[in-house]
Amino acid sequence: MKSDIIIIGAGPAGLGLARALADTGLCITLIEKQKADILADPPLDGRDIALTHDSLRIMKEMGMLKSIPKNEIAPICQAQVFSGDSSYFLGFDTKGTGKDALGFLVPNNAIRKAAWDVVQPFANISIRTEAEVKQVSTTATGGTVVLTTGERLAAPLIVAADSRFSSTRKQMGIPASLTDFGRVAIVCRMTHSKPHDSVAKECFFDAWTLAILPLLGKKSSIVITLPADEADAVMQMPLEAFNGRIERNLGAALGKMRLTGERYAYPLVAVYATRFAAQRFVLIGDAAVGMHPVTAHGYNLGLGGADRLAQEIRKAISLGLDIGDSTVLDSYARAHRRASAFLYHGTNILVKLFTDHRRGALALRNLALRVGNHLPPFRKYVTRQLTGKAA
Amino acid sequence: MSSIDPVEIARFSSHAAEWWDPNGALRPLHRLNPVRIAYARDHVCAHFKRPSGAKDALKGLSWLDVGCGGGLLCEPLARLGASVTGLDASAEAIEAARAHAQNMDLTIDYRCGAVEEMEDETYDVISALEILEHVTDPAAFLHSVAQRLKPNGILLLSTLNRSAKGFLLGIVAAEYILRWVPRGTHDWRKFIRPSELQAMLKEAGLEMQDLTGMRLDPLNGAFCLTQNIGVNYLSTACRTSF
Repeated sequence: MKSDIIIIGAGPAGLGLARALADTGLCITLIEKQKADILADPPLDGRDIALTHDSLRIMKEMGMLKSIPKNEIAPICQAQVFSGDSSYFLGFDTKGTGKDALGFLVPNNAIRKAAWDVVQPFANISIRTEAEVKQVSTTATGGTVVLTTGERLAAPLIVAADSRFSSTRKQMGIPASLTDFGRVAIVCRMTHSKPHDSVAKECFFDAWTLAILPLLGKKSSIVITLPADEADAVMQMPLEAFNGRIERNLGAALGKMRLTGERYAYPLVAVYATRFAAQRFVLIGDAAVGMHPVTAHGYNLGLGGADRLAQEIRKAISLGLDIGDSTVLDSYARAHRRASAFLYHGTNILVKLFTDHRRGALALRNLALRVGNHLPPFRKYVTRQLTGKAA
Repeated sequence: MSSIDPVEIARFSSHAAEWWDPNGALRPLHRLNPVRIAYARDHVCAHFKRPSGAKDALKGLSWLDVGCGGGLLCEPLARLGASVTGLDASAEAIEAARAHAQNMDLTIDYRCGAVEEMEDETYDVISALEILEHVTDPAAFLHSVAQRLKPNGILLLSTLNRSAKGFLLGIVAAEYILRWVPRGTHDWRKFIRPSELQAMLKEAGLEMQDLTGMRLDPLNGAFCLTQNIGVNYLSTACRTSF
């Protein structure tokens, strides 16, 4: 079977790219391991995604925002970073941005459902679910994907959006640098007796970090990152003990805390591909850049990248260029590298600094918070990443 | 009499296998391609008063690309709907162009020969990009090209300026420092000043309509249009109205 583009992986980046190109009339085939009913109605996975204003704009253009219930979108008006039990914090707010919120929290499963919903009306987008890729190969004139069933699919351009552990990236010989933090993120939702005032908090203790992300009402999304060997104990911790532990860590700032629903554990691994493009093959989403979640840029970068590639492909169509041409893929790769390199490496340095137990590191991060607070360009950079350039 | 230079043809024939290798000897042409297609598309659409944004912006236009090489320009034009004839003096280039178009499922009329040898046929659009600096007699060449242009047709040209900057960037930087193109690709003495081009066009009964420079954007490694015509430049011309 022949298409114009084969996208491997029907996650948010893959579906986002397909939707962004839907009206070009290109024949797009997505290949996805999971079942259609799971993609159409993804279960809760405990993750809440912090969306920047840019992401929100792209989602609106794609029609995704319509399919996310209003009561699932919560604004973040301020962000505060704490070191240890100290009450001193590095703060970010919307002052001078002309926006009401730094960003918005939306449950991951609602985003996934919306991404699935918006591609359904398009006859030129077909999704092969429960399909697994056995082999990918490309030549100067085209690409071929062989499924485990032996079926062969062909297209002039193949896009990998198959997670940070992308097997097709490996098959195409693109190396990636991988950082295993040896840590696990445990995510859950909690209700609390005091209001959060739409303030997101990131607290760095010696071995733990704790992020409080404000949902609507007296409810927050909690992200605990901790050494992998301590994760099981926290996952199994009895309810009362768990509630008490989080309450104490927050110095009772939110009053009485209560876990609602499940706890979910995710190992923390960050990945950066050394190249984003090869012959008739291009990486998007986590397959290109898999971020550590602490700066909340993974999803935003993935969506921005899909949008960027879609723009390059549209430009190629308007010039009559072959969409798999290396000039097309290289311009995307250069732009996406510019958009991601500093954020990726900056985030990893930050994570190292803030999870280092040594005394020197503690002093350094306390200093970093103070310096950060008094460094307008730094604060402006962070705020702009969230609220967009229109500010 | 043809203005084809056998030495030039032998040089380009030796690259035939590499025409479509974006990292091969013709890499600069691949880089140049998007900006020159955009220029060609926009000026042709404006000339024929049609919208330039459509997927088939060039539908129905007969287009002759002189010195088409491996078809780097012909293929995009064909995708945009033009009926394209590609002409090149190198049999090897024409062979490479035909094979590639077939792989891409495109119908393009490729011919090996010189524009001076063509008879009868006329075209809505004729392009001769990066060609003038490789022919023996550009004035005679333009005269022959003008014969093939329909009364309301448009001619697209691009070449290098015989200026000090053209020498520094087009020869010293491109061939010796950056090594983007093989040494000896260009001969500075064959570069053409815009004023000379204008005079030659006039001799051929054509009037220069536009003059736009091209330059490399060092930040993203792509070419873009500029007002500065000191090095590479593009031009359009139409028949002089009587």
